[in-house]
Amino acid sequence: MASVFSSFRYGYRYLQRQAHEQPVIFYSCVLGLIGPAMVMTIPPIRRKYGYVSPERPPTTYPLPNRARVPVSGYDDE
Amino acid sequence: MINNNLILIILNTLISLIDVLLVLLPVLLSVAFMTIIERKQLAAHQRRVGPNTVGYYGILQPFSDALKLILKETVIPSQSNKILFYLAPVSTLIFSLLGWGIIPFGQGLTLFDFSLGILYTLALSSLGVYGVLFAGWSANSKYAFLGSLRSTAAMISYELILSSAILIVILLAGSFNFTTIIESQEAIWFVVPLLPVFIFYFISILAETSRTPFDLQEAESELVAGFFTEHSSIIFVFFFLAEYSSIVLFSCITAILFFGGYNMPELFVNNTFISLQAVVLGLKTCVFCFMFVWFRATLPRLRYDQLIEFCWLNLLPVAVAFIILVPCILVAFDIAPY
Amino acid sequence: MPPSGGFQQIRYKRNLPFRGPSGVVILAGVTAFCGYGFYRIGLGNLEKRELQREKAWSRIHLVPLLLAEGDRDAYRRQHAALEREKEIMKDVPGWEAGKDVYHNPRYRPADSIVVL
Repeated sequence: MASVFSSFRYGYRYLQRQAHEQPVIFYSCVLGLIGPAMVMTIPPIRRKYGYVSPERPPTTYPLPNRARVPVSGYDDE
Repeated sequence: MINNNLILIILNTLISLIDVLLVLLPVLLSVAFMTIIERKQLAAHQRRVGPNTVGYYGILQPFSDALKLILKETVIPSQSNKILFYLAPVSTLIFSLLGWGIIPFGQGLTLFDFSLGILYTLALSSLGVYGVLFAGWSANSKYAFLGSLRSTAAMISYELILSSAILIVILLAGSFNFTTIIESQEAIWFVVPLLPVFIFYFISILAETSRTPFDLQEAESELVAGFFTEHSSIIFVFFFLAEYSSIVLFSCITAILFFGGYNMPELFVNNTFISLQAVVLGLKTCVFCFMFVWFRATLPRLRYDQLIEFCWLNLLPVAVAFIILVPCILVAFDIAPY
Repeated sequence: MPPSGGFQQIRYKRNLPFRGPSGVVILAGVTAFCGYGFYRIGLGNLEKRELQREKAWSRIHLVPLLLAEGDRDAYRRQHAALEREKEIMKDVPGWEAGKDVYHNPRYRPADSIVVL
């Protein structure tokens, strides 16, 4: 049975057949695949049109913009 | 000193008890009136009069029904497991009433503002299945046993869809807390972005509360009664109350998750002492209670295999597709909460 | 015989009632509805994120100030406690007020602060 359908598997005809035979599974797959496709395509397009992502909330104190001075010994000695 | 502390502890306990009573008494009253509302509304759908003799327009009918059931003889099957036989209806009622503990009726008007409220609700609705299972098994009757197996299978299957739909709501709101979810809907009610999700959510709560069209397990007129065939008198009242309590509870949760809970458009300034938020939530709940009865009046019953197949082969793929789609939209447009 | 002017036209056109909008229209409608919903949700979530950011930054800026204020208060109270100790123990010979109980000159912050 599988060999009969293997000739048009992965083709447009196969998808058409699936859409008729198992519409729920087919359209669920379509709907589910739209999501990752959007994640791949939409952010680059928005960035191209000048979209800047809003600033994230800070997770730590801001680090000072200078060279770090290594601490030597104990301050209280 | 010790005396003082003791008095304080007793006072605190009393205040907590009064708090709980303040919620539970109106809830139980609303559950009682839900039964009369259902009968009156079904009558209206079918061009009948419905109960109209007890009290004005028959509104005291549920109390007379309850009294009648309490006065009836309790028949316990001699071969039954007595403890589980009594425990099942009690646990079903308690689990469906516990759900009211975390419902916010207004800003800060809640018994417990639980940060994991959604998980609590899901856990309680899962625990409700045990009452059904115990009731069917302990009665030692094959009718009750088969009914409970069917009910349990259906409830467990549809709980999957229910929790998937609620998971999508959580993704939009970014919180398990009911209050936070309601506050997130200040922007817009979640039913607008999640219209397809709302549809299968409502189907799953119909099945979760075993209402028509998914009530083959306990079809009142055709089968005997499903899993509570052997339960009579007061313990039957408990099952009855539990069923209607979970209908009202799920209507309320629907209003909270998809229709903004106590939120409403600010049409006018409310400068009175009356909190309109609770009234708004109540009205929204009433709409869904109405829809429960409306569905019962409209739809025919599904066959049992159709019911299970509809869940696993039709609803589940759609639910999984939406679980993938919704967070992808949030990430793609950079609008995820936090 | 046919009537004058011939027979009436046979009305073969089926009279089907309108069965609601087509699938494509419903799909487009629902997509537009949900799209508007997601737009509003996006606005709300961005505002929520902005409020969260503001809260985090204000905490970052307020915490050093509150800490310094707390330290200043603790120092003041420590000195007051020393004065009180001197006042109370002035009649006891050989009592060193404020002497470390561990016989160790290293500075250690007070374990508890008496608020009077």
